[in-house]
Amino acid sequence: MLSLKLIIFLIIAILSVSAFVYALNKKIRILTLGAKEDRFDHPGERFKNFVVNVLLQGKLLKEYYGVIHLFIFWGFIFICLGEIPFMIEGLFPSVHVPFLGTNPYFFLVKDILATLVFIGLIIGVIRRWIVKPKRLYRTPEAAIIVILILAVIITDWLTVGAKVALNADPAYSLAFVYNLFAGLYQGYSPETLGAVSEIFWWIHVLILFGFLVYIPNSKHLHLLATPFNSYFATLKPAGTQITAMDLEDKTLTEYGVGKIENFTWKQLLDSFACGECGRCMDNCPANISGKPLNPKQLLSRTLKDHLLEKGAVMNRLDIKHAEDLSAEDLAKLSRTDREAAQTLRKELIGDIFTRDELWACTTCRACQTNCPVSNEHVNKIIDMRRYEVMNENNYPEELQLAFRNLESKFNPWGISWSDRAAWAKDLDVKTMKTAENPEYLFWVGCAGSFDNRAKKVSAATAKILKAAGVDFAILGKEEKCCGDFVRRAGNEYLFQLMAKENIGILNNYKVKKIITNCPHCFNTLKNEYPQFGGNFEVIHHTQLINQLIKEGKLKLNKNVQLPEQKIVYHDSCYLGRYQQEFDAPRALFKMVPGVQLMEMDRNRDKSFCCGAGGSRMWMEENIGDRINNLRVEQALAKEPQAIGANCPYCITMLEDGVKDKANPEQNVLVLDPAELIAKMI
Amino acid sequence: MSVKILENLCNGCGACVDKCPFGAVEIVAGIAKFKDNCTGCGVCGKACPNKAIEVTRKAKKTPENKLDAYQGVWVFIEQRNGKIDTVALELLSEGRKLANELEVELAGVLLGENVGELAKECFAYGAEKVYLIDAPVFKDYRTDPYTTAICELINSYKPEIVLFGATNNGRDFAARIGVRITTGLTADCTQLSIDPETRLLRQTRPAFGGNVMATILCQNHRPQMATVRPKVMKMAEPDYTRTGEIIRYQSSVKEEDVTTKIMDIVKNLGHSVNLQDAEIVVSGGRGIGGPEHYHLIMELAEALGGVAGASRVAVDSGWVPHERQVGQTGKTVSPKLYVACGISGAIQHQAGMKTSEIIVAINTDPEAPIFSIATYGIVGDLHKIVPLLTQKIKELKLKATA
Amino acid sequence: MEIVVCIKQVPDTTEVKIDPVKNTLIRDGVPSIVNPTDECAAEAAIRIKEQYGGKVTVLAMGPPMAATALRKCLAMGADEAILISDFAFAGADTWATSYSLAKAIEHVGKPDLIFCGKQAIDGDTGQVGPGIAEHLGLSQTTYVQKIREVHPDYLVVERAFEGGFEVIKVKLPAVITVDKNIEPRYPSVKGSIKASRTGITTWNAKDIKASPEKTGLNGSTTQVAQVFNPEVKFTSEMLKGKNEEELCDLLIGKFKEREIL
Repeated sequence: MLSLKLIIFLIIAILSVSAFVYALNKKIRILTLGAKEDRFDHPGERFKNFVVNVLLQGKLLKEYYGVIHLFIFWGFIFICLGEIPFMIEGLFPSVHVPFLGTNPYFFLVKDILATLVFIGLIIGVIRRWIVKPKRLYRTPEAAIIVILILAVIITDWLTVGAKVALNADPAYSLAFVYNLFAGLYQGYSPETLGAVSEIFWWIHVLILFGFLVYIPNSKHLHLLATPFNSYFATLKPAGTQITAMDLEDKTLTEYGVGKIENFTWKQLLDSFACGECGRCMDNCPANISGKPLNPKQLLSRTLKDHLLEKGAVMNRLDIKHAEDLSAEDLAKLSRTDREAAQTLRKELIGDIFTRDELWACTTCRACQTNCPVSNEHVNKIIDMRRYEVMNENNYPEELQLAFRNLESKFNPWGISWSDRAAWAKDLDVKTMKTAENPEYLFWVGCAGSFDNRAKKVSAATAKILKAAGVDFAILGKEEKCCGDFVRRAGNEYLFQLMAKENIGILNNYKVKKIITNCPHCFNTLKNEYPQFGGNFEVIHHTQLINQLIKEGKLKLNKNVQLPEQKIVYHDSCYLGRYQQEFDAPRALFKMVPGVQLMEMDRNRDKSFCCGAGGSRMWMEENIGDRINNLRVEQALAKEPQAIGANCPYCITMLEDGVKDKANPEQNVLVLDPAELIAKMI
Repeated sequence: MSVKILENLCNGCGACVDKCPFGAVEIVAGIAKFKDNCTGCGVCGKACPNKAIEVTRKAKKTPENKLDAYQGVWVFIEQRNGKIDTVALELLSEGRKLANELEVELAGVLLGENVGELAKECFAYGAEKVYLIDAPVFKDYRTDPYTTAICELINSYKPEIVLFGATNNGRDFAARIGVRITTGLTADCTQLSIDPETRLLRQTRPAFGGNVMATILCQNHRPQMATVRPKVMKMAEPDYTRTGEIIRYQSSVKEEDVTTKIMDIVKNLGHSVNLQDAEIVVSGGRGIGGPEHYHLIMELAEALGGVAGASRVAVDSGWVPHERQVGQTGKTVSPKLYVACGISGAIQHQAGMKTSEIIVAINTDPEAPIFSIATYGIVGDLHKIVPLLTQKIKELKLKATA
Repeated sequence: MEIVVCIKQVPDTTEVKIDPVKNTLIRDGVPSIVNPTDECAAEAAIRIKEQYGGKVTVLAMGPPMAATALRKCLAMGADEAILISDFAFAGADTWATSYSLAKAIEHVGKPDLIFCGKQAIDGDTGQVGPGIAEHLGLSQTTYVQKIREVHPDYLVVERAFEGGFEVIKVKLPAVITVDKNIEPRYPSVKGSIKASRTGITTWNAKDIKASPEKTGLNGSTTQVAQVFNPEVKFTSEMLKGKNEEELCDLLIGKFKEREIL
């Protein structure tokens, strides 16, 4: 009898484990199709990320219902551990697995966690199928997994409960759920209990092996991929993640990523790791404003489906790179296997993604910052934009004008290059040419130099710096656009031209420290110029002003008469999420007499983009709502007198939104803190 | 003319570098040095406080007597369908003055088919002579026959000055004539005068996009030739009692030698409806208040003979279709006149219209950035000003036609 | 079809400003660009090549740094670039310039078509195109706004005049100068990278067998006697009036002054 049970069990086990390994192997082989990328460095740091983000579920706990996932995660691990004594004792009743089969505290913890998983799943079911938040998909896959896990837990309880009723093993003495179930069996004969235990044991085993096979073949690959994805997650700070292309490389024939296998293996692994929680959707300004871009659908599901389809064909035909096939080969293949040929021909842009999706991204990084499985969304968008711009010469028309202007006038508007320092005409600001090794360079940026609104912030900053006795100068006509927007538009060539020219000038003047008003310039100068030999200490004006006040160099007149006003603060993406600087601008606003600083519902890491990043500033916004208007509506909900900001792009976008959405009589202002601080001098 | 640095006198002060209109001088090791693009104009010589730049004028001289054989001022009389282009009449008026100063004759050069009648008009505007080349091959202007005919005429009658209107046709063949008979041609002159000492024609013209003016001489070749833009010279009052001599000239040009053929002539009807090509653009922004007021902008545009545009806000609000949008993400325009009504003039808008020649801004907010780039600014309500302006312009135009 | 495009590198004249104190031109750092209508000429040539095949050679006269301008045209899609550069060319007026370019074209071969921009923004003469045609003894059509038909022996083009255009059939070989209506493409990044790696042929006066008597200052038929600055162009004026009526009259007065009405 026993031997037959063992034989049947082994057959089932071998079959399902083989199926599991087969499916997993297929996935791993598909990953190896991806481009090379070294993610094996700094194992210590990587292990730390693994502990924090996987074992401790650090990123999930940023949202309160992330706790549920923590329970499910640890519950699942204990359930798996519990399977060892469960299986072995089921097959060999006399054998007791040391510790796992004997320690009553293990079963206590397992019981508590299994209960929490059970409750968590029920809450999850309620959220997904009754509350129905937009970000959660109600797919059969999601239902199957819930049913499977619930069945695993219940059959475990039913099996062991019967066992306990039959023979109260001291190992289960503290396991309250097992004992509860044992109580349910009161009055059953030992034979019945034995049979019940046996039947549920088999049901449990079958479900469990089914589960094992199901995991690598569904979105629940997430379970297996995420620990690795978190371990291999980028270690680079947010602002430094865009890779520098080697444009001198003459062997490079294709720029950017236009075919799925040109993504790196890590970028492909991202799609396996996605658990479809939808945090990206929830925070994506493009998605919320009704653009076709849906980061979850696009970067995980659609990408994964395409990857699995194309990867399977490539592996079947033993093709390493779809480009290795000539048009002739493809035509030949088309005659024997039309479908395979069609799959191989598929391009990412056009066949998988639409251009509207690709260009809707503001690179605000809300998706990536909030992604609990450490997926890297922004680079994928930029890689594909690079393909469109550099390889296919196919991109929104409006960008061409901005590119042209940048090349000929060194600013995206095409304003006369020689007027760059005109804002400082009457302010007695020195230029690097005339100053002698000043401590700081004040990098004004294109907006700060040419945009009437941003010029006021430049002037306020200059006034503050002078009042604090800071030794600084500007580049004046020698300053050129830092290249932030062209890089994010995928024009790496033009970006590198601008970067190298600027770095040449900065290094020539031996610049060490840079002050800037613009978070985009800030990010580019600080985080991206080191890729090309420009290493500078960069500080945002709000940070420096705080520092000057703290050091006592800047004395503020606290008795100055300023209006009582409620200011609602807007975090810019490139100072906030990218630099993790949330407090400096807030601190400045709080120093201003009469200001009551308020928070928006979406703030800090969950702040909502103004709509101008990622080159969107230079494109039309024709689909859905205007992102800036949505942000302004969020701000106006707090009934402020002014909106606080720290970025010239944000100021432009928010002011536009205020004109559209606010009652003109209320005269809602958009202010940079420097403008208020300057009034206190 | 040629220039030379006297190295022993040069102290590298850089005055020449500042003055050079072509950026062709640099200071190398404390001494001025000419770069490849030096035109030898000699401006630096005057600027040098140390007299360290030697300017040699008339380096090469053609024997006087050879040049002296050339006498008289000619004006090319451009005509289309038997009607003289007004620029020719302006040039006759200007040529008259030059001829008086030189005490020589003023002649018109008239080419065409059956255009002899037009000579009378040339006389009325001051010509004493008209060289008439009348043959079917000259019916419409074409480069080859016109060039050949005028070169023959110049070689036969040797004028010292020939003036052309700087029209597309005038500029087309004058350049070719200059090369064929090896003489100088100065384009788009805004001022012509005679140097009393040398009797040379001083030809002044803008260069570098109008940033500098240059006076050009043609010292060693004859005739001295210039083109002049329409409306630059003042037209004199015609005197139809004046008469003159008509000299008919038989050119050797034959139709079969001409390599170009005019297949069709298309005249533009009315004004352009294309924003980018428009000479006048009137745009409305947020200040117009709603789609129901956009007609004010359209009407002003129509009255001025221009095209109506709009700012992004007006387009985004759905008041005006997108094809009318001017700005960074819309159309870039560069008209002679741009009227911005109720447009604050954010940089995104300025990027699309800043190169307009004359910018008029009408806005209620005196702080609006548009005023900083406006040629003429009006602080006021466009809903009152625009219709009034439209009405006044219409009345004015009616009066002019009546 | 073998096509030569003559281009000029010019300072961006919109960036040339007058120093209000010294009353001199500020040329420091003014970017050099391909003359705008020369880009249109390159565009016209490249379009013909793309449609009918052949080869586009871009040709420029100037100092070695003019290679940047040639590279831009290579990036747009031209096949070869030639720079003629020699101190002997310095100080050339339009006569001498067109002579030198014509000699260079003769040295290239016997092209079917030569394209030029209608005029350069630094000199605004529009004389070099017709000059080249005359030196080479070829037909010319200037101010072309559109190319309608391309045949091996002739071209049908639209030539603009004040108030309209003529449709002209011109026999090849010929020199065509084009205006801004032939809108130049923005070079693709791939093209720009390729162009940055392409070598540029440089010829001197001897290479092209140009006579020293006809090049540079020696060959110039005109001389610059004087250069001075015009009165400042831009004025900004706020019109002040008692009422709308007065403001409108003031503005109309300005319109009359500026010959708009």
